[in-house]
Amino acid sequence: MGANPSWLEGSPLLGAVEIAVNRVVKDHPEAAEKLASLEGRSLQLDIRNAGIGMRMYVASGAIEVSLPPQPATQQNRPDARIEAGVGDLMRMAAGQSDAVSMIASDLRIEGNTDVAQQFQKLLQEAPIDWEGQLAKVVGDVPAYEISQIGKRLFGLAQHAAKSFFSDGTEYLRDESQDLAWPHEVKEFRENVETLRDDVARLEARIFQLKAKRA
Amino acid sequence: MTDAKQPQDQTTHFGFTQVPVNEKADRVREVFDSVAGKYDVMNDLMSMGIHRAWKQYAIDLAAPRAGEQALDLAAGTGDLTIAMSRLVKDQGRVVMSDINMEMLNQGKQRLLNKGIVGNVEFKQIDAQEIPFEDNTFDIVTIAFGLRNVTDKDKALREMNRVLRPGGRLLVLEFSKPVVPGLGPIYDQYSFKLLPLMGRLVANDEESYRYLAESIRMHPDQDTLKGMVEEAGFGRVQYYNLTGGIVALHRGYKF
Repeated sequence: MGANPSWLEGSPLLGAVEIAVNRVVKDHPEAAEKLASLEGRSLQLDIRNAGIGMRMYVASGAIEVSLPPQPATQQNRPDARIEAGVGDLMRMAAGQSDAVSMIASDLRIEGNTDVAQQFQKLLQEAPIDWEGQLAKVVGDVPAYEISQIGKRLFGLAQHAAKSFFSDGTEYLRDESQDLAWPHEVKEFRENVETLRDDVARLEARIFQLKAKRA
Repeated sequence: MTDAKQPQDQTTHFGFTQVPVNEKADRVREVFDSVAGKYDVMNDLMSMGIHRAWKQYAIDLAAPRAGEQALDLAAGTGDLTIAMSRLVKDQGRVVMSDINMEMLNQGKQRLLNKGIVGNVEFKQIDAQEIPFEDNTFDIVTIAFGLRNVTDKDKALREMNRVLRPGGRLLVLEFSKPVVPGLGPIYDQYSFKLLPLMGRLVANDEESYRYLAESIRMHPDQDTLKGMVEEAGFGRVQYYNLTGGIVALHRGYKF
């Protein structure tokens, strides 16, 4: 990822995101527990289409949000990095980040995948109420109105994203046959398990035969 | 704030005027002795109340937790102290300090009137010579005070010394507007309206002229970021507020 757009340097937006995330985490005990296990860990989120990068770092039981340090060096590398297009992020927001959709997406994870997953789970367990956060700044009524507009816009985008990925997934399954149906994946997995058991039994028999010959 | 180690012939800025280094502290003290009584009214008037949002943003990013120890330097009438004392709760402590005894007394009176007692201490402190052991505090804040300090680098090193490893520094200060077109409007406001308001409300035009001049002489966002890093802080970043009229710098002690 290249440098961030200049308007983001020094933008209060990063601080606002940090404040919102930490408030929500504080209000969700499960998320707070997860945060403790991420102490000292960092995740970099690069939004490919927008050319925006953001670093999340957990220190003293709180998430710090900043721009990725420049220049990037071996010393300041994050533990994990997720590079995603806006569409991937929308799918994640729509709760479609299961294995099948991950394969279909253009999402790229580098570094410690466990850390990346923990961050993802943490943020899923602490859904941010943007309306509530906004109300603290602009008051309840405008916040409600703004958030309703936001929700409608996001709802439309989410619906479009769902349709797009749903249609895309159907195409990959039915037309190009690049993706399998869940029942096919299940059958394949059962076959693998059977094969694994058969191999284990065969290994045991060979071992017994060897013992007899000796 | 007098620094006896500085040679007599060295000068520093006091607004747009150059004064001997040893005189700056006294000149600043005179300004704040003069404005102390009208400090809150003038802050609200000059910033149209926005200073409260700037301070709240600083507190939110400092995120004080129950039991933590905080030092509020150049605390003025105690806006940050009040907010932090609520968040660190009874098991924590906030030291409210100012180099100017008149300001500190105003602040102390204000806190007492609000019933804020128990976890707040009041101390007259020069930010260049902080009278605390190394690694004492979890948070150090200085809001609209650093530009009045004679030796800013020394003060920042002191702030680093008294913070515990992992502790955070927050510097809220006037800075350089970054929004195109805002600079000239801000100049007009600062050099024409501010002194006028000072004359009409506080009967003190000169002090408010100094305020406008001292803001222009203060390092811009990137320069101050470099100074904070030079003082030993890591992960330093700044946030422009109201188009860069004010900037909040945050750094951590490693």
